[in-house]
Amino acid sequence: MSKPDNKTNNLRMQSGAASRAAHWTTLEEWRGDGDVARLRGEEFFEQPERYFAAEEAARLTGKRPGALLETADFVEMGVLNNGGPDGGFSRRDFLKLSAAAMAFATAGCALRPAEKIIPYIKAPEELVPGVANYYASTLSDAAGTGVLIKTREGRPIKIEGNPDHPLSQGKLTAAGQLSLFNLYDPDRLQGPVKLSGARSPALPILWPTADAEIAVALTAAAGRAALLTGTVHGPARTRIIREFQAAFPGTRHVQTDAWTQEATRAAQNRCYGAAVLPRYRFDKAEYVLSLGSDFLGGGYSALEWSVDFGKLRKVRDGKLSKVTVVEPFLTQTGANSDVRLRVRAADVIKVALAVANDLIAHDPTLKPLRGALSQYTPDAVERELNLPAGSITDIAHDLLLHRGESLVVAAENESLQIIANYLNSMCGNDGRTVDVSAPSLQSQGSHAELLALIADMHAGKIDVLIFYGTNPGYFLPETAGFAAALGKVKTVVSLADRVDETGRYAHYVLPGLHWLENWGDAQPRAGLYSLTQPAIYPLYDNRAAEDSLLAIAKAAGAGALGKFSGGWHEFVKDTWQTHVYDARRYDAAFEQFWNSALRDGVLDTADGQAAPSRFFKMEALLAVDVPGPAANGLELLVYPSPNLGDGAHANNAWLLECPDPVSRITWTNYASLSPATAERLGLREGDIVRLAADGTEIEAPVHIQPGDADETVSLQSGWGRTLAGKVGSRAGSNAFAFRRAENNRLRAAIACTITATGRREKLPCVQGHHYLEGRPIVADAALEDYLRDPQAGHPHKHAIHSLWPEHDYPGNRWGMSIDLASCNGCNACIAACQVENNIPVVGRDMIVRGREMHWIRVDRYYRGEPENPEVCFQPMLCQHCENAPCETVCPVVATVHNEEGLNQQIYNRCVGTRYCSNNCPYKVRRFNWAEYSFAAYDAHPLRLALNPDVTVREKGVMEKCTFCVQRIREGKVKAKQFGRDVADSDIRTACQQTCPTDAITFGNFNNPQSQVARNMADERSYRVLEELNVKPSVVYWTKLRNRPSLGDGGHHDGEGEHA
Amino acid sequence: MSIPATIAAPPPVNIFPPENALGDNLRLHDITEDVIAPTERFPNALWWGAMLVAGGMLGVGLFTIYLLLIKGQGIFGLQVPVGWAFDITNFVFWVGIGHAGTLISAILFLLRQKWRTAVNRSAEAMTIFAVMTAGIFPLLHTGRQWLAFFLFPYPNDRLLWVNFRSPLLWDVFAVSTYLTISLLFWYTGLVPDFATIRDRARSLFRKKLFNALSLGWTGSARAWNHYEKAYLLFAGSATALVLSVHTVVSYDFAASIIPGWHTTLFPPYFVAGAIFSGFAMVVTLLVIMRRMFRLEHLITLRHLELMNKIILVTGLMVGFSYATEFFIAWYSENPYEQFVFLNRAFGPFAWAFWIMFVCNAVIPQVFFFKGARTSLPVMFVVSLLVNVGMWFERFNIIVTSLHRDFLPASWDTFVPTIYDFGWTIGAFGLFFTLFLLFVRVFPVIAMAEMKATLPNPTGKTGGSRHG
Repeated sequence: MSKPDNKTNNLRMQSGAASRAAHWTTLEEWRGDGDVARLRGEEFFEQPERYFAAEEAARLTGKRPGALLETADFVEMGVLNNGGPDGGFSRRDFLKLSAAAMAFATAGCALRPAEKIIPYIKAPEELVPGVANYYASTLSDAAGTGVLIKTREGRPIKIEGNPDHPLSQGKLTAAGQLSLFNLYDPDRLQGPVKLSGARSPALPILWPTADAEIAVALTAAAGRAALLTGTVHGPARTRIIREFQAAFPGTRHVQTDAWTQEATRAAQNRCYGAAVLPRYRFDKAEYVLSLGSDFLGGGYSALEWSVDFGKLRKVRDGKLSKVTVVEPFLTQTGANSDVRLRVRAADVIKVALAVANDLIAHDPTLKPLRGALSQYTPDAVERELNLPAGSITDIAHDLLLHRGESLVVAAENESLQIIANYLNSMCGNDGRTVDVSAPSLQSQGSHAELLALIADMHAGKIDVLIFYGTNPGYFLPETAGFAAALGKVKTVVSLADRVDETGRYAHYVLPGLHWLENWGDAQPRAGLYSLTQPAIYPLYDNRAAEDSLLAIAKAAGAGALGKFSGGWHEFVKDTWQTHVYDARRYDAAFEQFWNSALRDGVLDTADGQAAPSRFFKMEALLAVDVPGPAANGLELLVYPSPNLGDGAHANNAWLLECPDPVSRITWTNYASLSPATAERLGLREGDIVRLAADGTEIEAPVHIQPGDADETVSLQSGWGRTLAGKVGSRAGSNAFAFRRAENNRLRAAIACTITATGRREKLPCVQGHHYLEGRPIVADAALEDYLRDPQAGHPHKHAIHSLWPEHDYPGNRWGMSIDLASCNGCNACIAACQVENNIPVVGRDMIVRGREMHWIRVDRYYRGEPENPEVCFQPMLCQHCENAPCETVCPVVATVHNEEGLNQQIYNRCVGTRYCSNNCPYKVRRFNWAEYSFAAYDAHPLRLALNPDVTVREKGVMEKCTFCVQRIREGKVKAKQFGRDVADSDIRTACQQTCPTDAITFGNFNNPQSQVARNMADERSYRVLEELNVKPSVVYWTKLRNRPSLGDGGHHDGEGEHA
Repeated sequence: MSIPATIAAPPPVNIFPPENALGDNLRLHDITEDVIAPTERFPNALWWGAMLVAGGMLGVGLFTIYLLLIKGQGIFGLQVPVGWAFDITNFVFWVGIGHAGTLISAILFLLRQKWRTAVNRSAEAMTIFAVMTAGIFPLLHTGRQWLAFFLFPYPNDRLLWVNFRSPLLWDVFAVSTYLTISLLFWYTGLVPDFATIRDRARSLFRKKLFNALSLGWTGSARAWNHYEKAYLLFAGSATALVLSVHTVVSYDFAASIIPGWHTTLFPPYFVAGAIFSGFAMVVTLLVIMRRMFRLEHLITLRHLELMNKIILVTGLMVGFSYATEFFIAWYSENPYEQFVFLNRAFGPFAWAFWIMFVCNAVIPQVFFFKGARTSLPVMFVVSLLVNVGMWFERFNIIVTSLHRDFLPASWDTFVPTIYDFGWTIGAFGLFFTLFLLFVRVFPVIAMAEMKATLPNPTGKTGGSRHG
């Protein structure tokens, strides 16, 4: 049968052309061009049978087929309608209809929920579906970290550091990134509630009613009121409190945090006459001495310090900064030290004094001081504390060697701080690495004021208490009497986002907003202003805490605040106009200034000139309170959690599952003991013990931590909340219970006893073994060895030959280099990867069973004696091997190599044999043992946090690092738009983007100009398990330590006891 | 009766002592009667009791599988790094069990070992049931069982194809080929016996059923001729399979790069181990079956002793392999390899290693003594222990190699859950249920073949002796 005649169409088109078709798409069509009709006929060959039938009819009748097609008699002929002349159903039609009926009937059986898609009535100009928008904002934590919020279709899906912000410099901590999930926390209150008393049910209340009732109470209180907040800085946030105090005269404002820097401020006051928090310039400190300070993990500006510290942990012209840590238990800072002295908490001060003693020995003008310090000679202290000979004089030597570019930081202890101040002044660091020209405002909380307030509450001097941003009900011990004191306050108002440990004693809980929904500002250090802007409309009927203050003042009609027109947003804007804009000269109009501040998120008005060095008051040092000989017996130390902070993040499953940087334990805190102490007490890892001190008892599992001082128990705080929410309540135990209010401050280190309960549990640790067992996996070398031989410390290398033809990579080839000397084990990469790639949390039980899902992990190994080991961190992710062992063994080709060197996992094809994982020498593949994603994101509104660019994986599927393939695609598209090759800046993987120390470099190593290609070519690079010839695309740079060579060459092991 | 008394057989090639295993006073009719009678009467209490236990175990397995399909692999004690444990252990174990049947049927047939006629039928049945049981594990060990058909290279419009470089795919072909050949081989052997049952059948149903099953067997010389040829051909092809199946299964491990798996020793080691465990299982089953159906005169101690000799020989091979593994690990100077073997013998799973070592390499040594070889209680216990040992051998290879591989940070341990035990028990349940149904319905001894080996089939003195 021949093809239908084109004339058929021509004919129709001509008739159409004659009447000038009503609608047309091209001029040719309008003119009735024959080519258009022909092309259309070929393009849309809709009804072949109709044409064939017409042709058949034409053959039978001798008429032109075109004519037949249009005529009614053709139908009558029954040729087309082969059902017969009666016009009934044809067999074909019958089959069609019955198939359709069946299909529709089947489809109709499924009951699908109605899903509404609401289009924008007026599409926002800046919003393109599928393209992320970034907004600059500021984290609500006291550190005042500037961030960028990545939103997709109006949902915040990721938080990254703001590159323009001096505190974050584009980086962000794990806690900062994962605080995204606090926004979507299903346990937040969804509207204001009223409680008639502690533990009474929360009943919904209307906002105006609540405002009016509180206004009445406040007016009646006539100054017998107090505002209790966490650290507050930022022009608008401080101004609204001032104005609130003005509106209700006599109202007190008390700032308090779980962890305060009162001792630091007091020591500054005593030494220099001003109670300030200096800005520590780790970016200028070639030598850092930490006297028990965990500035990387637990400092009040830890991110800023990690970033700055990381800058000097790169080899620059043969130079590398050096850090000595004197501490009682192994912290993240201690793990990153070059020299670490392990002493009990009370003995840190002796080391500090001995260092001071050794320094002044060279200065004849300091005779009186020498007398005071005479008993702390380096020799004596080293002997007393069992330290290696010369370790204290080495510190003094290093301090002298780096005068003006060293930095001494100390734990939150007044005496230690004074000695640190002295050492800094002595070494000319004050005014250089210790800068008070723009002091930090990041920690202003005071326990003394809180305790005074509690006393006043007890005395019945406070009638109304409004609090937000702090949770003393959790961080105060029961003995502080906070609950009883609250009972004496007539009206307690909580502006927290849930009924927490403090809020349960409140009469009103007016839930505040998450900072991602809220306006705000911050001033983390003098002259540095930072704006918070909302990235999403409030999810619930909640109101900003500051808006509540405004509303209450308005309801009372009190003061200037009561007459302020507008809400919190207008207030922030107004404040920035009056306090920031007007205070300086700007050329632009305020609206322009405001818009640019909003866009940048940050405004630095500091002149950058360091203050001159201050005069050190020697009497402060002479009055240092030196503790007597350390008491025998166990001493308990409570320290802050790097992930949960003061407990505010406790209901964030992602943070609960983020491992501790040192112990790699998740989901719980633990009593950390040194191996020797555990042995003395007959305790094993995971034994549940009862810790008792001063009549307080809590239960916690034992963790045996190499590097801890003997007879010291350390316990992380931030855990054990009772009213955090579904996942956070009862995770771990509350270490704050051991605090004691004493002399108007909270004392933490106390003598304690341990009794085994006989129960034992497996700790949810993401790492299975902690020693290298002599395996050449982490290359490390002393700096001087490295300078002599760039390959120092590398595993022994052999020439390896392959039997197989090599892959061809004609275009890009993606690879990564990781600098082990820079990596400080902070977990920021893990967090970034989780948020970016929709990696679910799996829960404590699954972690115990070894089923964590993190695509990138940070392996932490110990080397040397378990008493005081050297620590190395090694980020481990899919190595995207060229000869990938996983690829050959997958029976269904679900994991394949692409032409750009990526090892790709095809979730749709994966049947889940797990052979790939078994055969992976790095064990970086992750299997969905259950419906993790659905479970993790099930509770509304958690699924709003999902990144739409990344598939959510179902049960039974293998997954792993993709090198952020979605970011690679995005970067390639961007490069293509500009018609150039991909540059390093186009593609940054999530882990690389956030790494505070820039330890991770990613790029195209087919391009010799790229940073990653240069890193790979560097002699310092090596590949893990190179001898297997799997040819990883990830190289590591030798871990370097700035300490004398041990002369152990490349193949050293340093075996410890098997943990 | 149309049962031919003569089968032309080549002269016997005896590697075993020449005396015949069967008694002189057995008659043709005795065999028919003794073998078929149990299938014609109501089963005894022993059978019912066994069936109840086996069925219960199967129920446990089915429940576990139900949970597995609903909840995923997470119900087991697996994790990364231990991605396989009981699942593949059971798979290899059951495939191994399935080796004796073909070996007895095919290789011993080709070698004209007449004593095999007493045991080959049940050994073959055991093979088929064992392979069926084994097949469940690779199918269900996947994360998404409903997509397990992806493992087959079927033509599809998405142009998806399987990875012929993957040993798992080789498994699919090796095991399915083995099952097919074993099934055909077994059925071919059953055809004349089905005809015998048909001829004895009283009920019409039974007659029709066995008529269909016997494919209209008439017992003509022509039919016997074809039968013999077919049987010989199957025996020939099955012989290659005996060696290939477990060789391929061993590639699952040998073709990987994990220390403890990546070794060239595996193919012969696995084949020897498979025959070892398969024969042990046959002995276990026969000791019970001959008692259950009073077949002591057909399956004699002599038969069992010969099997025990094979257990002894293969046990020595397996023991030698263990020693070789340790030697090579030491000799290689590969620290990862050395660690794996030290960890096997002295690590957290040392108990599993020593169970394996004692059961497989030490205990079978008692078969050096004729007294032990011919003692029913001894051989029963030994055969059970051998299978315990062989199960642990696979467990050792899989779990101890995986749980501590290259990077110490990813080390972990394996703690089985009740569901791991659940489907392991279920596998035994399935196997025994099938086997009990078989002994109830089918002739458990190859009658036609056995009749051909009778020393004095008609009972006449001085009569012609065929065989």
